[in-house]
Amino acid sequence: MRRSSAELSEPLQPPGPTASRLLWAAARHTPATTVVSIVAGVLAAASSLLAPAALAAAIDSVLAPRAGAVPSAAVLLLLAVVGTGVASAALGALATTTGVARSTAWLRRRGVAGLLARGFSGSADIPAGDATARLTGIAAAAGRVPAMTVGVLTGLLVAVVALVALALVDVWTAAAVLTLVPVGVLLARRFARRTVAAFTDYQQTQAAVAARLTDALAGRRTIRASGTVDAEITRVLAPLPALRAAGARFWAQQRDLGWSFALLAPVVRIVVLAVAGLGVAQGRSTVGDAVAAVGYAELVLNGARAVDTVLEIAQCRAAAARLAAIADRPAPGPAPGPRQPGPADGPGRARLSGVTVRLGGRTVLEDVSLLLVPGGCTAVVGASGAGKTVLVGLLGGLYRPDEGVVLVDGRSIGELDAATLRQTVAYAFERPALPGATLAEAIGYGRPDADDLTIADAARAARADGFVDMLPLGYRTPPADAPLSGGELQRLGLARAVAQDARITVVDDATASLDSATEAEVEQALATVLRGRTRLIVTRKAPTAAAADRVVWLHEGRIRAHAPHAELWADGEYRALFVPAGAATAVTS
Amino acid sequence: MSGAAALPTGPTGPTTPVALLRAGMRGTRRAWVGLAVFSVCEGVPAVVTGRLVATALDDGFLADRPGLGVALLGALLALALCGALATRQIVPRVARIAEAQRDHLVRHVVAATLRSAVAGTAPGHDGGDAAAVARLTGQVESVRLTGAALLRTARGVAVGLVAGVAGLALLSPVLLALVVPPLVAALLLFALLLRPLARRQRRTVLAEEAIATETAGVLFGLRDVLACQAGDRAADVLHERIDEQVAATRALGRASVTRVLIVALGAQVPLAALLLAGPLLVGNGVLTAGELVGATSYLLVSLGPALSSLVHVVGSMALQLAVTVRRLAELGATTDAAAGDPEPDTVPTPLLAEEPGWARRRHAPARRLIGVPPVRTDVRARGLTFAYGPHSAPVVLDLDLDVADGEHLAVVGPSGGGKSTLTLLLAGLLAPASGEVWLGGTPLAALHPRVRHAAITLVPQQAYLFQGTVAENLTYLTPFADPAAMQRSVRAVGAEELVDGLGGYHAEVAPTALSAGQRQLLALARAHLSRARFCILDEACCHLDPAAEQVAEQAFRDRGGTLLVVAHRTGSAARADRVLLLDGARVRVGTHADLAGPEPVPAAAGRVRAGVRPDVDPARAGERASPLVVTGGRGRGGDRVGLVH
Repeated sequence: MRRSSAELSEPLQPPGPTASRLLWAAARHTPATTVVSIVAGVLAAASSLLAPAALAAAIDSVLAPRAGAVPSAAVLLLLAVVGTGVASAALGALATTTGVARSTAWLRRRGVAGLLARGFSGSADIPAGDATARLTGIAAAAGRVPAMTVGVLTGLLVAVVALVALALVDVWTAAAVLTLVPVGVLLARRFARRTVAAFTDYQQTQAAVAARLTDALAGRRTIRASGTVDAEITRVLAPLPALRAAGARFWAQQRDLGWSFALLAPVVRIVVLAVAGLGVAQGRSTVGDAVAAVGYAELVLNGARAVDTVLEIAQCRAAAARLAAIADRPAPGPAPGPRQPGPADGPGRARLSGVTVRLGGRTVLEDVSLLLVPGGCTAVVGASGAGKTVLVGLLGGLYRPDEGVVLVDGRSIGELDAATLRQTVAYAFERPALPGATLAEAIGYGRPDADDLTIADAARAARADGFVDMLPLGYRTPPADAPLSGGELQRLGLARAVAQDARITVVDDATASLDSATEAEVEQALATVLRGRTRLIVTRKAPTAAAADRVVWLHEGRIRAHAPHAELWADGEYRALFVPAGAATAVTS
Repeated sequence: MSGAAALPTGPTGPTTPVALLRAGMRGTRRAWVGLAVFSVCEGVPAVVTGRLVATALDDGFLADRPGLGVALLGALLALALCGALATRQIVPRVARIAEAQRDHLVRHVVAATLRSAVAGTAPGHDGGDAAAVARLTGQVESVRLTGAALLRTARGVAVGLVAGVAGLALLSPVLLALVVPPLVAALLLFALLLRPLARRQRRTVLAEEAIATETAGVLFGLRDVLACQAGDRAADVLHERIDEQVAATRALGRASVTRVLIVALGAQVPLAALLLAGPLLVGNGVLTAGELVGATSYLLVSLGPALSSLVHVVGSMALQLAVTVRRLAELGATTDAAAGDPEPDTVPTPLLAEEPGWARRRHAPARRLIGVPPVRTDVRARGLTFAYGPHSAPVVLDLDLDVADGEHLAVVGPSGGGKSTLTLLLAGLLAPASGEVWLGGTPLAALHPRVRHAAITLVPQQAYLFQGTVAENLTYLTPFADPAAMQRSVRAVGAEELVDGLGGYHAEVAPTALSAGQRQLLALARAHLSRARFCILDEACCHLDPAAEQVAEQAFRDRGGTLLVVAHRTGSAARADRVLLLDGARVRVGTHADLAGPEPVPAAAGRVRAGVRPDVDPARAGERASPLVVTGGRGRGGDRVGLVH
């Protein structure tokens, strides 16, 4: 199966220190449940350790010749021990489930914070679908690690103490168990690594299928138009044989581990019984002692069986490593300092000085210096891939400059807090996403304190009120439920930018899906509503460029010219950006 | 899915969890049989353990014949070895069953998700169903691992319970009276507990899905979230969902405490009863010492762990499995209704059935489909009407249209005016509420879907490229195209430089690394290469520069056949033979020159509502070259329309 670079986005790596740090932090942040589950675990362990001895005494008292109908103290003690065991097991179960839920929640919150902190440009290397998977299923697997670790540790503790107790009951049985159990532990360790490798391999292949499905969903309209949905299903399912192979490797490990333990447990039991039985025959021990020996041997075996959980922990740690990749990696670029509110009444003068931006090894913008006159309208033009989107994205912090600074009213963008930035820059995109529970919330997304009137006005300005009113729930329709065309989406995005009422409004080709008539209307409305604000418009349409005060011509990452449209119109190459010329210039980058 | 000659549609989603699981078990009968056989083999040693131990103790060690005792234990060891070998045979069979189920579920999720996504009638927003992707990685995986663990543990539980009870009976029937009643009571209680547990489990699963949906929404719209500096706000909503999941899990945990009590009832109570009654029983000779020890051995080693395993492990795993499978089965149910291609014998027509006398749901009788492509490619539409929902006004209303063979028609109009919908209707991808479309004289509905797709190519605005080579992407519609034809098409639409820049035809395409314009160019080359004689470009050049757009459109004109272009640049409309203007109050067809220029449009009274037919304007009806009925449509009226330069 051919794998492309996108499918191998994360190289296979064993869970390293980052995963451990993350999991330790998760355990530290759920102290209450961790403590309770430890205490309950210790109590349950103690009760299970006392139980065999109590059982031995009880049996001996039952078998004693003078036993009467009244239950002896030994039997009552046994019942008390068992009762404590039950109660602490119940408490422990409750604490464990709560602890797992809280650990998972903490890991998810951490993952979310990490993703949001990386910013838009920093998140380009992990596809959204992959990141979603990490925050959902993978975080759930990782969240179980602290609780499972506590369980394993208490199990191991019980095993060790049981071994000591066994030695106290009968040294020979202890010796027998001591020779056999390490065999099991060694076996388990050998299989552990192989299982983790097989499981990670499996997860990677699974992610490949998920990536193909995401791609196909993005191209749903073409698939529909071509009637190729069956072929697409086959294509998405192409990695399935590889998945089967990875699964087979995983199960092979499980099989070898499973039957090894299936043999080891009875062998230990039988050996213990034989040794204890011989002890009974020789008068060394009582029948009760033999039963106690079996009980303690069982506990030691349980401890060895905890290795199974160790395997699971190993798998979940592998999952935690993928989560840590999101949560722990520091954001690229200089670490942001404390963010402060900026001047509230600045004119919105934006300046870029010597800004260079590199993305994915490519220099997208090089040594760009630009001063935006407040209150003016500037058009940005250039061939596809010239860097227009990155240039306008710098103002809102969507892209961070590798060199140079971006200043608004004298303050660097990186220093301003969210509220100030919101009032500084508003964006209208060509293909807007509409986060928000309802259309009203989506329009007011950039302005948390927007009231219904503001939202309605903004929708009217962007000519979005028409189709919204036609929906049965109107502005309260969830965006996912509203069938929206490309043009309607764009108008909602414009409405959002208008509602935000920022000093600088960036329109990134956001009228491309509107035809000339609607676009003219929208532009006129925007010019009215945004009068006095700074406007930055990315466009391919000559009338729009002509209506702007000045035009920034971006060519291969550099500013080739910054002049009014009329002055530049003389240049043939400039004209070619808008109007069909005689010679064809294809779109490349 | 029915239809006289329907396409091989692959697995459709069964709608019940049981059916879903059953379908996934096809072909695993041998594995099940093997599983049963080896489980019995595994369990036999457990049955005789107690008896052998008791005998070894009574007749061997306690009777001063240690040799016999050791020999009996040796026999037990041999049996245990057989049991372990049986275990070795069990895991691969469990694996086979689990893997087969996983394969089936992956196919189910992928097929159901893609079909429902593709069948969505609105040409609206993107945002893939990322929750479905999470389903693939999360829920299917959960079914695989949980199912396998459940199989392995449940057998062990069954074996343990049966062996324990059988062994106790073998030891002494008296013991049954002590052990079986509490055990049965525990099992009954557990059965009663299952339903409330299932409800709470379902709540946790739904909470997980809500997290997935919300996370996907934020991550796929990350640019917009950050552009609005709303990271904290988005995070707050996510935190809410995360907290709900914690609450749901805690509710489940609280209910699970009762499990511990049930195990105590079934395992510890018999032990207590045994010991309390012990002196009586042993004193009166009902039980020997060995039998007492054997009985405690059964309770400790067989019955106790088995019951504990049943209630804790098997119970929760079974619940999780049931809830997850139910969610996956629901995926199949919602998508059964949204079929892929509209089936010819029942034309699913949306909504207007509520409007009496206006339009009616049409169910054409089943008829044979035509498998021969039409010779001519003139397009005709009569009385086309369509609306998206019962509350939407019709997007297209009683539209008549004639496009001659080989003509280049441009469609213009305000956004939301129905242009994309019209292209879907003309391509036969949407069934109209009323009206019909003919291609080359054949009704579209009568054409076999495969023929229809071969004859009509529709290129939407968003280009679809997948991970594969450039050649694979280009030959998507024509898998057997020869390289020369491919190169010709690439050259014709002006994509040669792009392909060279990518590294040639065998270079891998990474869709996210290409710009929107580059993707569109490749999609145009792909469409140009296809054999279709009727090409529809739905704003398929919108990301290209005007010069590149002209080159591409010229290539399609030169290609021959009928061309319909939804244009939003005036240059594109100017190049066409005729222009169709789809605008609020009016639909007009004419040449570019006819439609351009000042054209006073009388102010219409607000929006057109469904059920109100605007008057036909006789002055306009006869002016155009082709027969045309002025109709209503969705959108605003009252503005000057025309093509503005």
